[in-house]
Amino acid sequence: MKAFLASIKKELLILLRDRAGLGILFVMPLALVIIMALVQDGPYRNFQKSEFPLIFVDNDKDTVGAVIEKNLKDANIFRISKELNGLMATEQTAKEAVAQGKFKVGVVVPAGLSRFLRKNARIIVAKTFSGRPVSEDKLFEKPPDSMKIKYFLDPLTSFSFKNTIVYILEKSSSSLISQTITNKYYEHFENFYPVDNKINFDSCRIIDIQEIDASNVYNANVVFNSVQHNVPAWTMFAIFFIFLPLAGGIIRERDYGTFVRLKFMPYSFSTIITGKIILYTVVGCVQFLMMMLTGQYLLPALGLPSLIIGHNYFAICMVVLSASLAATGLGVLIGTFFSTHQQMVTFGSISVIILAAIGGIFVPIYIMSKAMVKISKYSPLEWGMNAFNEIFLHNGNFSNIYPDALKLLVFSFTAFLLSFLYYKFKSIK
Amino acid sequence: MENSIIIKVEDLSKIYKGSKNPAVDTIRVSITKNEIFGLLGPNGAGKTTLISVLCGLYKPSSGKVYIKNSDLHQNLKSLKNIIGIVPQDIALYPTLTARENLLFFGKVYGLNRHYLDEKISECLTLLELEHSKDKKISTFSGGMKRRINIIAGLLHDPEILFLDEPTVGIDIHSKKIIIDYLTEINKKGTTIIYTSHLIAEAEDFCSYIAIMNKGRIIARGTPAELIQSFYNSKDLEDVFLELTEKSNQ
Repeated sequence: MKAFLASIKKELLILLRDRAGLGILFVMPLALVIIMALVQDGPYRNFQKSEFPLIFVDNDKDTVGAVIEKNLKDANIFRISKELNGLMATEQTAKEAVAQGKFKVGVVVPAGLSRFLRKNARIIVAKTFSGRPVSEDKLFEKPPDSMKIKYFLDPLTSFSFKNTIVYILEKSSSSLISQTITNKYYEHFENFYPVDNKINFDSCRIIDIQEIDASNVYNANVVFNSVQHNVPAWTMFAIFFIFLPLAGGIIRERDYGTFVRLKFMPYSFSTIITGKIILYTVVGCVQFLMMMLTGQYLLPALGLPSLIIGHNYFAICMVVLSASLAATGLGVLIGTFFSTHQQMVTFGSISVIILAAIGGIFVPIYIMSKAMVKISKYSPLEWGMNAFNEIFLHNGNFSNIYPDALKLLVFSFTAFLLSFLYYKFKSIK
Repeated sequence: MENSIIIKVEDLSKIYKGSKNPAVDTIRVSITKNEIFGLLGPNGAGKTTLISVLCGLYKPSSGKVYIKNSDLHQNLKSLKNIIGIVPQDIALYPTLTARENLLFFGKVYGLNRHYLDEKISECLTLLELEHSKDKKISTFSGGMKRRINIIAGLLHDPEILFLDEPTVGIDIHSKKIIIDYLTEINKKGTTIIYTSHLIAEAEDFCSYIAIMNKGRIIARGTPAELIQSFYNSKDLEDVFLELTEKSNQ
């Protein structure tokens, strides 16, 4: 026990005096999480708040223009402008403004579109009651290009955003067409008998949609934003960078000769290595705590949303502990396998960056290709991230995260076992 | 085995993995209790390998080592408590202070804090390092580091102390302090097994010497016996040169 405690104290003193090591463990992840959360805040926020700038050109100045403008406003994801530099926007100036990136999208409603719609509705009703057979394609006048609603998008906008715009325009058009034709039917029927109730059938929600309060399944107030992604992501990255001071320490022990001195001593070398493992596992937990405090207090002070971590603290502790042990295992393995500091730094850093990239640290996994999503399942950083997301976003408890925690523990155990076997193999002289 | 013999080596050979030639070849030697046993030899003679096998770091390819009548490699854990090692490298943590280093190694031996405080203070005083106890090892001179390196191997008062070139590359002042200190602990009962390239130092310091070359012991005896056995030699250095040249031919 004395040897074990002495080993922990020795490792702690060495770490506290290693400024570069402390920087890698605590300053680097702090800087990364602040910078990345700030940088990615915009793109995340665009999907959650009325932030997309939209230039709207209403040349119709009638029903169609008014309805489309209302529907765009009701979507709550656009900041709508109709003027450019104090002048009413035209199709040409709107197009230029979008091309210059001043607006994400431009929508132009052509002049006379409401009249064109009403004229066609009249034709449809007249042909319906003409007593002659009429094919559907000859039922109304096809709109020429000058009568089409136009939209232009910033090339940097995503596919899903384009779908949103098209959906709003299609929904508005369908509603306008059906309502206008219905009104013309009313007018026709009024020639024969009075119509007492003119109903807007568009408001008849015979088929309705209901949103269920899912707060028992998901954290009620959690919105997946830049902070919710970046804090757990860079926490996992920071925890896995434990390998650097840990493996460096093992290589230095060999270089200094203290490794040989310890082998002469009457205590098993595993006692000494366990001291390192315990200390760096605690370091992983401290890193986690620091990153959570950053997410909850520092990032909101910088204008970002506050991190929500849920209330399943036991599950959180299990994930942090298993992730720290996995990172420590990786550190011991790298420190045992490589004989020089340079080899260790190069291999270890690139490995952790690759594991982070495929593990969804830099970008969320759900926007990756199907192949990458499959590959990501082999990254221990993804296991940790997945478990954190399960707890933070889905109110997950231990039963939800134990598969990921178990994978991290198995990774850790395998790394320790391989290190031990390689150490034994190398010890045979 | 006679009671006064503390280490007995029987037909010890060590061949490293992947090597054809033995680093240590059929060595037979007995070391008497309270002796200062010097192992001399040119580079690559097998001194460090022999010491590494004698203190249990490497297993022998063949042969046996007995320490206090016990087979070393079968009773390694218990025998490690009576062995002290001072490796050739400065096996210390440079960012820890002298005291922190010594406390750590002492605690790994399971020594209690009170004993360690007294022992460290005593050793530091004897080796003239008391004033530097709270300085980091990285700020020490070569001689100071060597002295701390020796103390680290002595904290548990071993009965047998192995020293692998303990005075290499240091100034005369530090060398004198170290040799005086080692002589002192030998007088108190510690058997010392010592390797060195410094023949003159070994001649003064050792009570018994074995000269090694190419993994074998080519001569042994007290320094006086060795000098006497070669008519043309005036000191141990002449003996050493004559023997190793002859052995190389």
